[in-house]
Amino acid sequence: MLRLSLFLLATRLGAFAPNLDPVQWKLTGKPNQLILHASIAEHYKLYSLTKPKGGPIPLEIKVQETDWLPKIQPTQPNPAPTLTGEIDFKIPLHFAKPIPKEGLTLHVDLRYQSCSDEICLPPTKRELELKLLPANQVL
Amino acid sequence: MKLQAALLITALAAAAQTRLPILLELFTSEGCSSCPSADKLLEALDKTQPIPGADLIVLGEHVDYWDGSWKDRFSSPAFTKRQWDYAKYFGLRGVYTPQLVVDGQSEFVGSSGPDAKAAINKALQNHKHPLTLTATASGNKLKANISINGLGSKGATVFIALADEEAQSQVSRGENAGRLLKHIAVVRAMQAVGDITNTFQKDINLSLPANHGSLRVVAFVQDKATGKILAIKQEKL
Repeated sequence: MLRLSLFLLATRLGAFAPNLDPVQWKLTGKPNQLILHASIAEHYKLYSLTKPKGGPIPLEIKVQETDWLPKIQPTQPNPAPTLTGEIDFKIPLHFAKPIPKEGLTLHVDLRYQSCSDEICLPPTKRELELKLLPANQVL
Repeated sequence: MKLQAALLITALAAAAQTRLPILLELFTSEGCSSCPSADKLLEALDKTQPIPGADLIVLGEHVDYWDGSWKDRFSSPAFTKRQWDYAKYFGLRGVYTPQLVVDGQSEFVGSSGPDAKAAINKALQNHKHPLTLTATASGNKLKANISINGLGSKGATVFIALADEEAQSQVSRGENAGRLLKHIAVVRAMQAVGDITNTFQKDINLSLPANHGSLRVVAFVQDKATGKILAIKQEKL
């Protein structure tokens, strides 16, 4: 019985049920800008765009470049290596020519890794897309 | 007084003989910052055998999806696949580390002692079928024999695993950089050696892993439909 007590005392008191999908993403369009919103579950952290090399992979946000948007560089609101809570990544849109009347579909590929205090999840991929209309564009 | 002592010794010996073998598989990685505490729990469970009536047989299976910045020398895609197989059995959306799987029937965060205690106690309610295992090492070869009679299964797979008794790594990169990580029962090789419904008897010849230390040989039978461990035996070389 003493062994059992010591064994239990030597470990933490309880575990949260693992959340295997702790980061929810939403992509919205504004004039000349996309907002990529990350909602990170309580107790979890997301390794950010600015995380130094080594260990878990940093967040990658790849926006498919097109003739209309030849260069796209996402930014995060602060340079912290890990992020928690609600985060908006801004993706400025510098149009090279007017959006066609039928609109323009943007594809965004995400790759990221997240951990809680107790578990870590393998690299995860997500694909998002958003249709931009001429109203999204201010030339 | 002598009679009481003799009865106590007899009772203890009988209890030791009737301990139910239970398989604990820890999916872990040297590149995962949450994993060292689970490795310590696995070692404590192995060395202290704290649950009455349970003979805990532990295996550390190092997955490879954390190898990006620090190559875990014990990792293998085979263990990642095995963990995903368990995810399907448990109806999980994904995998994570550290994850402890008890008898193929319960899974939880691998550093949780209370969850381990509950899962082991649950596993104690189940019957295990007898399995005979003999194993001898000579040079770089292992000869083993596995024998099971009257299993009465609808379909199960017989596995054999070779594990280093202990191992350690000085990690120089990644989130565990600077830490000396110690492992117990690190699986160096695991393979399916046949299928069984009722009776199984087979001689197995395996190459021993390079740079191995003292070895544990574990043979077990796993139900194909549910992942449940039906029989298990361990020998130490």
